[in-house]
Amino acid sequence: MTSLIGLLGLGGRAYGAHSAGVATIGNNVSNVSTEGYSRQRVDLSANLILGGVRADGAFRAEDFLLSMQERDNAGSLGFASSSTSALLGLDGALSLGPSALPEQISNFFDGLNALQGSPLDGARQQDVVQRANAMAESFSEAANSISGAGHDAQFRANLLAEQANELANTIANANETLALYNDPALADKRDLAAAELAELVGGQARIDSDGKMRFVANGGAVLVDGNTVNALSVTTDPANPAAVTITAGTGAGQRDVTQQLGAGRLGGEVEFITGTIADSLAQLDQLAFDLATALNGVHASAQASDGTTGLPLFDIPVGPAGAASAISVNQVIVDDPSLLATGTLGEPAGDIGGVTSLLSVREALTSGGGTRTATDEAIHLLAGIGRLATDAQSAQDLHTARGDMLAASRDALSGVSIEEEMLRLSEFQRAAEAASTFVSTVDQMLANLISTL
Amino acid sequence: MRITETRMLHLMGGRTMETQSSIAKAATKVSTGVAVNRPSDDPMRWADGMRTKLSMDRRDAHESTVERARDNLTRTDVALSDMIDGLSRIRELAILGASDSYDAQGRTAAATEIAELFEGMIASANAQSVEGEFLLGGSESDTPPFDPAGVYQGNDVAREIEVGDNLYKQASVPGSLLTAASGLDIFGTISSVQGALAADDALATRALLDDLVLAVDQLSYARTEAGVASSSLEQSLGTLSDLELSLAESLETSVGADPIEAATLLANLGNQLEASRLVSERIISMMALQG
Repeated sequence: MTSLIGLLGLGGRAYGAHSAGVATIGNNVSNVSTEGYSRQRVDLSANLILGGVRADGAFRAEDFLLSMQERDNAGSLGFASSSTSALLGLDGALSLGPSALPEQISNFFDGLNALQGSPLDGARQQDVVQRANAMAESFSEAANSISGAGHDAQFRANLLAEQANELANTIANANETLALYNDPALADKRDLAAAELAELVGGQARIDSDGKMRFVANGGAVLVDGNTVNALSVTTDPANPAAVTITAGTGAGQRDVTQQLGAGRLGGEVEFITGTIADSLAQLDQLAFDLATALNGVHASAQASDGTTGLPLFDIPVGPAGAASAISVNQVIVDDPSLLATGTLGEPAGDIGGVTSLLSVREALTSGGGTRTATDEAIHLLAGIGRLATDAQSAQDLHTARGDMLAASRDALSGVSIEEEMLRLSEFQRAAEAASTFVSTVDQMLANLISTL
Repeated sequence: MRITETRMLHLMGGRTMETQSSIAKAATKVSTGVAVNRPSDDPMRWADGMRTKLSMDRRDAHESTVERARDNLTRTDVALSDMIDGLSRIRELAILGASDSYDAQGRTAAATEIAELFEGMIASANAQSVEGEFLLGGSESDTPPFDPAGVYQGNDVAREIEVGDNLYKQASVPGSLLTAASGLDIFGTISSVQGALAADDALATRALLDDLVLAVDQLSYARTEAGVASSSLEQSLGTLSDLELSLAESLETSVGADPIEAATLLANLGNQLEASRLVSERIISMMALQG
């Protein structure tokens, strides 16, 4: 049979258990807008030893499988969003404004068209040279835009790696603390950091038997293992906007993960640098080289109005590499536009055979390995970047929608509903009031007993 | 499914942002009439639009070149017309000089007038374009095609210019049409007439009258050549004008925005945004009541 003192303890434990429930609800409500917060619940169970009720601590409402899916999607979304942003920037830089490359190439040939009506007119010759200059500058500007986009992406890759290392340290520090005691709020922060890290580099996190989180990036590089962090390092070459190397770890354990990332915002930047930038620069260089070579060939087989054989119209490197940024009009012709080879070799000064031959290059399949005209190749280059941007945008939309769906599932399980919390608060409040009344009653009984003794 | 108020607010916020972004795009379409501004808007349509735009620029260049060539042919026609006028007057003087009623003094005066007309005809034959090229020199257009004695220095090349994609048409008439290579040497014939009159030789003058008729015919033929070339270029200008309309329509199809569709979309998006705002307000007031 329970004594009055025992009943007082029973009421006190009941009051404490329900107060813990009220406190947990208070915590839930105050974190209603906290990103990544998982609602907590208090499970009440019978106290078999002392009797009455006890609160079994605050538990996080979570689903590990769902968290894995979220991290996986975050990596894909990060990849798509960084690709979209980088590609849209490059797309705008190359196609907007007055000096889009296809227009400048076409503009040069339009100038030649005008010259055929009066090949000896100094003003028209000057105009053609100016248009050739504008075309060469447009090639250089396009090359600069692509290189600039590459350098920007290299800079972003460095920042992303720094952010990833900070998040990895956050996870490792949380691992260290959580190994000592259960802290749901810190566990939330660790989960949030893992989700953000997944968005940055792709990869997965799992909780080991010791309760510590292990984060493995795509390709198998372990970034966080317990309290240890294998930091990411980004190496770029200022002279080469299409180069980037990413390593994980230091010393003997360092490994190159550049080609293995394949996900996350950092993976998107790597793909942009080593794929889009490298391919676009190569395509642009080849276009500049092929067009200038074709025009130089025609120009050298024609003659200027003074009877001399045509000089090379454009100065270009010996091979395609760097041709787009290096191309320029022959300075001798810039200084004396009458040296434009407008006529046929051996014919009088007013002959326009040279102009006609130069004009024929417009329709010649000089580019794309002999499959496209120069203007078509320039359009193909720009439209190709646009196509990559729309593909990346579509992927971003897809992963955003999937992310919304997963977030909804997570919210269904872990989100804080004020309405629900208010109902549960009422329940705990009533129970606590009842326990309080019970304690008061027992206390009164004790007081009566003591006063009669 | 369990949906929290925070999630509802988050969803509404996301939808509102999406709608605002769509409204900005739709407003740009309505205000500019252009649906595709850059490759990423629609790569295929942008490429089509760019090709059409380049074709329009090329058409403009062709039109400008053809107009200048036509102007040069008009100048050539004026020069040849002046020469025909001069030659007709020379023929009148030759007919008078060939008459037995004309005396030596009269023939000398006629010879003097013919010499002046000869100089005028040489000046016409050396007519130049606005840019300074000699119109009747063939491809040797940087020097006067006829020397003071009327000897031709040019060649028989008629310039051909591109008037459309890989389509070339004649744009000049060579002065060789006025030389013996095309019938008789017109300036040589005039010199002979002038010489006969100066020598008071009515018989020789009479013998040259038929040649003067042939010379007028030859000049008329050269003028016809210029007229045919000019007319052909005029046809090309008409074709280019038609092409301008066709290309403008094509560009509109490639990158243009349907104004009615764009305006309807804008109105729908406006309503959608208003609905999002109202729902968000309702959720916030529900949360306030619960708090």
